[in-house]
Amino acid sequence: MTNDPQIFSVAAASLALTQQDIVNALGYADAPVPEYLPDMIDEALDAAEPLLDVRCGFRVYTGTDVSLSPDTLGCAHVRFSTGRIIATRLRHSTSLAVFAATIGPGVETASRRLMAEGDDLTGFIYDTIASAYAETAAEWIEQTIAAAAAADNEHITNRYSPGYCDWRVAEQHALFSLLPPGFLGISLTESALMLPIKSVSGIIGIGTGVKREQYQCSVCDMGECIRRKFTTGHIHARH
Amino acid sequence: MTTIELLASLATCVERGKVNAKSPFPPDLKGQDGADEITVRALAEGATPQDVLTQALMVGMNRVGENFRDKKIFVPDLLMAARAMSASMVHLKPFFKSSEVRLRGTIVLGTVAGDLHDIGKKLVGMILEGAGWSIVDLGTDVSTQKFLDAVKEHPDCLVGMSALLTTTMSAMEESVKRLKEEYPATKILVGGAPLTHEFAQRIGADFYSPDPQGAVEYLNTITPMSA
Repeated sequence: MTNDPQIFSVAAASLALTQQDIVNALGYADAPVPEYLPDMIDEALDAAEPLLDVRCGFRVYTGTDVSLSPDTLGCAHVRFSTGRIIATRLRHSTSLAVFAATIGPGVETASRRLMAEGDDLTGFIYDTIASAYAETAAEWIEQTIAAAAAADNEHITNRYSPGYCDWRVAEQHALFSLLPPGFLGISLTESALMLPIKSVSGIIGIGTGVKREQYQCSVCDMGECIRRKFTTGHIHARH
Repeated sequence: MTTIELLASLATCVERGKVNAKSPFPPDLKGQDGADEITVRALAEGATPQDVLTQALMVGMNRVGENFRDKKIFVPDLLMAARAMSASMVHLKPFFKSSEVRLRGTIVLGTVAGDLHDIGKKLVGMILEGAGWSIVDLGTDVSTQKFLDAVKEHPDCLVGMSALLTTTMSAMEESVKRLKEEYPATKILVGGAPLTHEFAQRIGADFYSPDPQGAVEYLNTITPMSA
């Protein structure tokens, strides 16, 4: 795999979400769906698509740039305190892909505008759609990295992001120091919040001795995580 | 219908998110009056504005808060309930100035400095409003100074702070500390996904709840509402 930064502009159609994806994300995976919701979701999905500006990318570090310990992760000039959950799952990696994905500010901005105008419900549906698109964009780049790894007869781990599984959000700054400045147009606030907000970043392990596991929310204590909501649904990026 | 029946019906409209007669939702109430029309009728039939607030809106929103806490309903249901409550509140607003409607007090809400998450805090505000509180929403990325200024402007208020990032929990700690230094009697409630009871205690906040209804129940114990 090349060590040069890879950047992709992704067509929204590649990430097409279904009404059921959003129903699940809103919490109704196992509950009766209010009658008003399906039409509202369909309208919001149609309106959101032209507002998307999906960009994804990654950069692979390998060889001496990678060093792993039971609860930390070394990547080039950075040593992350990821905690044991993530470090354990990455321990057989010989390369690390630092990735990011964003859907741009459009849907988020529309959501805030709707809420400011008093339409909280539609605004919330837009926000949920934006979060779901960000997750599918992250899944898209994960699949892209998996395909590149497979070409070298290697496998990938699950993707892990600051803020999850005991990995502190503050290390987002260090993560982005491993990517070119202004990567995908994403910036960080002092508090490590990505702008556009609907963005995902993280690390994926690569190697012949690693494997992608079923996502295991049981090892993490983040009850309100959107990925936890989606694991009950069936969101998959078309690739 | 008697006024008691009208108020009970109004509580149901809020609970089910039935805004007005034109609203087709929920389907089993299609064609029937909603919170808008029933509020007008209740006031015309002799219910006081305070009755409407305490015996209908607060009753309905309390059920909503409980159901939300118990995961029987979800955010869209809560937002529909808030819409119905707002449709009723429009008719009560004129009585606020004349003190014919007495709210419990004022709660200043804000998401702490560095944090731009808005929705969770807004949901808390809706449920607290439905519990009889006047809400002053300072928005997101609220500096300590802005919280201090708001407490100065609303001297008897309580303060609710939200943080959704572990990185902004330190900003919450700073804001709580400064507020307690300058206004030690002001009660401060905190919430947000990464928070815990232990963190809230350590930073000197008065209360933490993982869900809005917990805040309602805490506030009911310290500020009972007279009918």
